[in-house]
Amino acid sequence: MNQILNSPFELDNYSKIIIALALYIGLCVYNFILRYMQHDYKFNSVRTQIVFLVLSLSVMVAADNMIIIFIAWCCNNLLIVNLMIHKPHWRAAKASGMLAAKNYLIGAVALSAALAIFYFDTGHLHLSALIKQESYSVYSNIALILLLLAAMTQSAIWPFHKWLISSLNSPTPISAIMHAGIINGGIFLVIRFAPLYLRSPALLTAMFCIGFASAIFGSFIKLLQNDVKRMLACSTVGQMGFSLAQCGLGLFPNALAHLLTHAMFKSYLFLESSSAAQKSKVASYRQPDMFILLYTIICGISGVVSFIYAGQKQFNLQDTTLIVMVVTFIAACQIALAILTSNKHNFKTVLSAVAITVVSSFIYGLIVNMLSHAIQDIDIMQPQSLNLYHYVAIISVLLTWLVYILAINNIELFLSHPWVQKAYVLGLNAGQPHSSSVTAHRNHYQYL
Amino acid sequence: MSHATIIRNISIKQKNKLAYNSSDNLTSLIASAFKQTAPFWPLKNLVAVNPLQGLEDLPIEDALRTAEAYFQQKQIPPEMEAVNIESIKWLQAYFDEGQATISMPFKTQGLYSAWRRLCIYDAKLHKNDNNLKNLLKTLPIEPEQAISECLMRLKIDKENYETFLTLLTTTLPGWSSYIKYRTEWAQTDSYQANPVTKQEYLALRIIITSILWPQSKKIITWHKNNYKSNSQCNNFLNTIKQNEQSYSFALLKNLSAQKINERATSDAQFVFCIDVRSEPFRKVLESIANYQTIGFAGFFGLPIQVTNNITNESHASCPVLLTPKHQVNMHPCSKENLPRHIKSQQLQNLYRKIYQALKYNFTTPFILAEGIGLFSGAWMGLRTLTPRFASRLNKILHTKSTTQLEVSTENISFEEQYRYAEAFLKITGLTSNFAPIIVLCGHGSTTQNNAFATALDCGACGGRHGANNAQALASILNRIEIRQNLENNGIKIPNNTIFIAGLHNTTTDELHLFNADNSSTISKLRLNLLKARDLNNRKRCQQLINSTDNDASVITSILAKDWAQVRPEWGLARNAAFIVAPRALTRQIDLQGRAFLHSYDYTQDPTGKSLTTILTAPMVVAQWINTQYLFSTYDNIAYGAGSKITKNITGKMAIMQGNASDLMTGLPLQSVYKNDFENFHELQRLLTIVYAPRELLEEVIKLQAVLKKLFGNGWVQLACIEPETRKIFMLKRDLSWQQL
Repeated sequence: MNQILNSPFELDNYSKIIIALALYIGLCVYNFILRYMQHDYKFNSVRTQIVFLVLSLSVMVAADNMIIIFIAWCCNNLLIVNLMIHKPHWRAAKASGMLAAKNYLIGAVALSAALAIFYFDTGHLHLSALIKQESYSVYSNIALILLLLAAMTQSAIWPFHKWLISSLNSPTPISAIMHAGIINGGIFLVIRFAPLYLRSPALLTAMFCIGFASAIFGSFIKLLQNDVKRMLACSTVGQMGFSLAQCGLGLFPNALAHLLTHAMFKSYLFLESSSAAQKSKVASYRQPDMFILLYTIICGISGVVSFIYAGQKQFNLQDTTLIVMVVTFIAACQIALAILTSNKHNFKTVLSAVAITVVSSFIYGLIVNMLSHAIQDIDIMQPQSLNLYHYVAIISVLLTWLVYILAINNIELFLSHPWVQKAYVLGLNAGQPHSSSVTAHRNHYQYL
Repeated sequence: MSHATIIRNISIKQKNKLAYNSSDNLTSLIASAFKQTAPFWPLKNLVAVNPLQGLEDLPIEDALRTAEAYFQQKQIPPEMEAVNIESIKWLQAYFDEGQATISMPFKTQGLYSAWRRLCIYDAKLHKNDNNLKNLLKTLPIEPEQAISECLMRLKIDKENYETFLTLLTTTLPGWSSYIKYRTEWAQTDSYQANPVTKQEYLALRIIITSILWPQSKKIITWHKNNYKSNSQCNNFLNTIKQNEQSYSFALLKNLSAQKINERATSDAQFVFCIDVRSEPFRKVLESIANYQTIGFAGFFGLPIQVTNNITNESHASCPVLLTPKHQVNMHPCSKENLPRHIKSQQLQNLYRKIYQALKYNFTTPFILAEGIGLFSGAWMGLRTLTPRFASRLNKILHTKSTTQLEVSTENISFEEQYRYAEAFLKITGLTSNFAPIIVLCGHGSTTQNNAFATALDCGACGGRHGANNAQALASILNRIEIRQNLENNGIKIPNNTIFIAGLHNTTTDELHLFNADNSSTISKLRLNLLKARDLNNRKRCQQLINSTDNDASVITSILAKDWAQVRPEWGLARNAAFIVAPRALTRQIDLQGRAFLHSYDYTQDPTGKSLTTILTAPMVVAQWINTQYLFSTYDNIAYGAGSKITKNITGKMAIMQGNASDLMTGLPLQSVYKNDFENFHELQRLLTIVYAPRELLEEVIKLQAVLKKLFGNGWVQLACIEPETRKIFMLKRDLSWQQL
């Protein structure tokens, strides 16, 4: 009884940041819709639903009472499914909505089971009380696994990604808000329960592996996509995977930073997707020779140093922050490569490559640091010590990157391997939407 | 290639030869399989086409019925849906022009060869069945061979070959249209990166069909049954005829009652494109000052290929019916700016290179999202909430790279320059009474985030901005030697007359003048252009957003800058008539932006040469536009592109709906419909009105097959207003006249 009388909401910095994000994206998308969909017969109902969606998202984020979290969670998903099936006479659109609904149903079952177990195990109905709980039983572990499952369905983590890459029958702004708002729900939940996950290193490692697999899978099929929206959707699969992997490394604030920035980035790219035909791709860089490779690595290292300096982090070879450093190193190298291979090969070029990588890594470090600091009040930045899985991940990331830059100019030789061709076809098929959500006959498309 | 495969290939080649002999008419069968299909130009230059172009040889009634059976069926056999899904998957991959980072291997070898090497791994085709795997592994090298083998395997009767192959194209009409464009129309656009032939496309279609639907023979019966169902064509034709009757009668009576006043001198003359959007602006301009306007095809008669010397981009700037004859280069006006210009171009390229190096890789996109996410979020807010401010900011950031370019005509020989100049002056009737300033206005639209942007540009320039052609012709007509030659042949252009090129922005009605000085006459002209812009924008806003705001020009400039806008302008919607007459005949009438106006003076054209050109080139373009709007309105799903809100751009070259669909050809819903239910474009065929003696017109039609086809089959209606008697005659379908 006491519990019900407790305030059902708790606004910490974490929820404030997420609510601010939801409001901002909601405002942008709502305004975009004002012109983009003004001639559509569902104009009014879409606007109303967007308002309710932002409201219900905010309620979920601010809630402390688990029943409210669950109800708001389901509300979000119901609203987004309804928004997705914008043209009910278009059977592919309806199929997309149904795929999402089925996926969300799995998530809802897993989530409700998880919350029920927590309640019966600890007697707490409030999250704030639950995560402060000192002792916990094996049941809590089961609940955490179920929770992770729910998060995976919500955030389209592999192997629950098919519905997301089949979801593009929705109007563009609906895709934007889905990829910026709804999709984050899963990772949001995992971060909310971070103190509990942090007590179970095995679960964290599992989380990392799943996230990492999803990141690599999403990134790979994204590179094969031939239409702009599905490319963006596949990219989201990878980005969500990366967030989950960050959680698995114990770097929850980094995961939050990633959620935020990705939400902005992806919603912008969706709204801008009508310009895809006008955006031409520049020629990819030429094959780096030994010298360029050497300079590149120097730039990469200076980028990492600059990143560490901006973030005022301790550099520790022993814990999971190393993985963040490795990924930053690769990004800095890519920037350097783009500069080093496009200009004349002289001292000035090398100098500007170093300068640009150092400055951009510094800015990047500042951004991540700023966002992580904002949620210092909930102490969830706990890098884990490295284990075998982490090393495998580091090596495979570095290897794929090296293969990628070395394959670029030997493409003919590379493609003569049947397994490369086979991988291409496998990837092409893996990136296809569910067949029921494809408009297989032109006249099946309907705008009503 | 291993030894064994070489030997196998040789033996297959020998087999091919045998098969060729047995089916020597296969090539013609393949050609006729595309007969019903109209070409589809990609997004970089959307050219308006009659979606029923392949059926123009039929009377319109029969064509509609046939098209209904081929293109408007609500359902296709479900097995064919599976075939389409797999076809779309591979076609998307092969014809991608830069969306994918890892593109389909072997693309330069041709569609069929590339696909043949990869399809053996496609589990969605062979379904891990060993027989099917073997079948895919032993596909013939030659696509013709594959087609004839499949026809056998599917047990299609010989007399049904053509229907069957046709159905393979018409059940995936959008992609087939693109193939038609690539194989028949794309000569000047180079596509070495992914070559294709009709054979290859049909081979891919028929092999997938034979694998996924061994009983696909049944599709022929399905097709024959399509003719039995109820037809909507008659209703459609009746609507068209009703709309036409009320419109034509009033317009023709009105026109024939107009007096043609003797031409007075004017302060300036403007030559606009025949585009229907020129007409309201011309009318306003004429009402402001003593200005004359003239209508002419927006490419100004110059079949040129324009190359930008800085970006090295090149495109044909003339109607697609013509092949460009001359290379015209664009370079910066002043050499001083050149290094700076190139430098800023390089900087932008470098930025894009870094961005793409991060975005299109395995792990770096995660870092990219974190690094620039907040910036793109802020930019999204600005573009959505204050599009004007965002546009100003963007301009400041890009200001260095927008140096003005000028056009050089050095690749056109003097004789040809002279010929183009003379033809232009004679066809428009502009051979005397030259004003001191003559502005040649090309046109183009300005829109943001609009996949269909080029559909709003100049059709006469192949779906591009038309300023380059205006610049080229202006420089030709300003040459002293050209003017001397003209004078020798009876056309005297006064020394103080100058030709200035301009660009009419059809979204905002801004008219930009190129290389114009700041003399008092030009300044006055500029002021009047601003006035005209304001006045015309008020009319435009009423039609577009039902607003009577005085700030109309502000509103239209926002429409042009707003990335969320799906209807920045109405384009050529409601187009209805093509009037070939001196401007004096139409000046007093409010044509409501529904008429293409081509200036023409029959007294200067005793042989009918100019009239022939007008009717066989600009009028045909107008008919393509008219039928595109007509059919996109009639059935926006079968012939249009559907709603913009769910579109998805594939391969940077065409539109799909949602996750994946056939290519959506034609105009989007928002271009022809006010909302989801009410059409804005009026369903009617083009009415061509010629102000010339009937005999002259008859002579022209008699010699031109295309005109006999268009008038005789009811695709275009022709009316003649006789200058002497002012009687109105309508051309009947049997090509005889009937007085109105």
